[in-house]
Amino acid sequence: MKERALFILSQIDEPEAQSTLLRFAREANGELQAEAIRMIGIGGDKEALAGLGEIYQAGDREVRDAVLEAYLIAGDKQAVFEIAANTDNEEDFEEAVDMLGAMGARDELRELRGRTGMSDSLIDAYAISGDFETLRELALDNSNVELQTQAIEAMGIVGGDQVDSTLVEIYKGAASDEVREAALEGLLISGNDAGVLELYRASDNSAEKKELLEYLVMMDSDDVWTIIDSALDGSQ
Amino acid sequence: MRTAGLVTIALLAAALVYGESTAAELLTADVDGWHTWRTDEPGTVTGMCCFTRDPGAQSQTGCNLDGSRVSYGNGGNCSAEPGHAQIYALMKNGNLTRIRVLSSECPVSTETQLTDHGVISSDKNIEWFSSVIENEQISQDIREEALFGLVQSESDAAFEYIDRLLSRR
Repeated sequence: MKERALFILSQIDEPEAQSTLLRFAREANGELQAEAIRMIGIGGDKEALAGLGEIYQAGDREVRDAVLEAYLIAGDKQAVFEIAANTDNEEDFEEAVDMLGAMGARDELRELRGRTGMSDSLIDAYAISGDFETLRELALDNSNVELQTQAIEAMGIVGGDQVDSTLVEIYKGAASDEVREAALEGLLISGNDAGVLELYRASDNSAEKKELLEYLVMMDSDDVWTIIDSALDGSQ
Repeated sequence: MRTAGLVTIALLAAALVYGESTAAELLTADVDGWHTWRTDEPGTVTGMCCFTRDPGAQSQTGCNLDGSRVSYGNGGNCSAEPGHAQIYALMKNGNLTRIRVLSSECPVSTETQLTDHGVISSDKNIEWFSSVIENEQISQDIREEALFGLVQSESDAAFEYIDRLLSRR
């Protein structure tokens, strides 16, 4: 019943209704508090959303997650960006960055790259938000091999023709086994069996061919079976 | 018909001479249940094994061949000590219905009849796999299991065979 009342409040476009909702978000506990926060997100009132910043700072993990969810519902990328940009807490940063990824906030995530350095969660968020350009820059930057390989693998999550051709080129031009393996993992994640088959056919190294073949079979490649069946048809 | 009979006699004769089952015998085995054999290709080792997921329990003590929820792999919880490739093929009503390739060190259990064909030469093993992979009358799922199993066997001879197959025009 209380949850229903909170929803009704969220739909009333009057300052009194929003301030009552904000009071519940600030003073209630447990599920009721989380629900009030969520309803502010659903209502989308700018002043009420701004008030969530203070509640975030004073809250525990559950409250902070509820605030992030409210920003997600309201589509308030800037508010989530502010949290990520201004926190010294690693967990808060990662949660906010994850949320920005889910919101497809590419510009905000790119800005964080310069301001806070890199982290696994930031690379994952680039992938989730589909930011091929940033991942490609990171994938071609060999100043930090660990970040480079993470970015290469994450490109596989983005997928698409550009990713497929870039991963094949990275594999071909890899200066180290780590980079080559990451490109192969990326191709596996993107499901680009045609690219792996291209590399297989181009290779004359038996150990490399063996590994590429393992990947092709793991990927349940249709292209492999097309070749096998057409070869069988041709020999009959 | 006469030709087929001569082929069968030739295969049986070869089996007697070499003391091992032929590919044709393995594939057309009229005994339902699991059939297993091991290859002795030098230098070929695999750690393939599995664990079974049961509600509330996770067995890491090997593979239940009859299990429906089984995870296979050569790392982490799944792996066994490296061993020779041990092939398991399930026949039901005279049809091949499942293929597994595990380490010979991977312990297995089954409630189904298990016929052990002992050690098979690498050539005979490849011959058997090729008779499955290259048989378009067999279901695609089983052909894919055969190709997957052959790759998992980590056999150089297997890779050479697959490479030839993929290079055919």
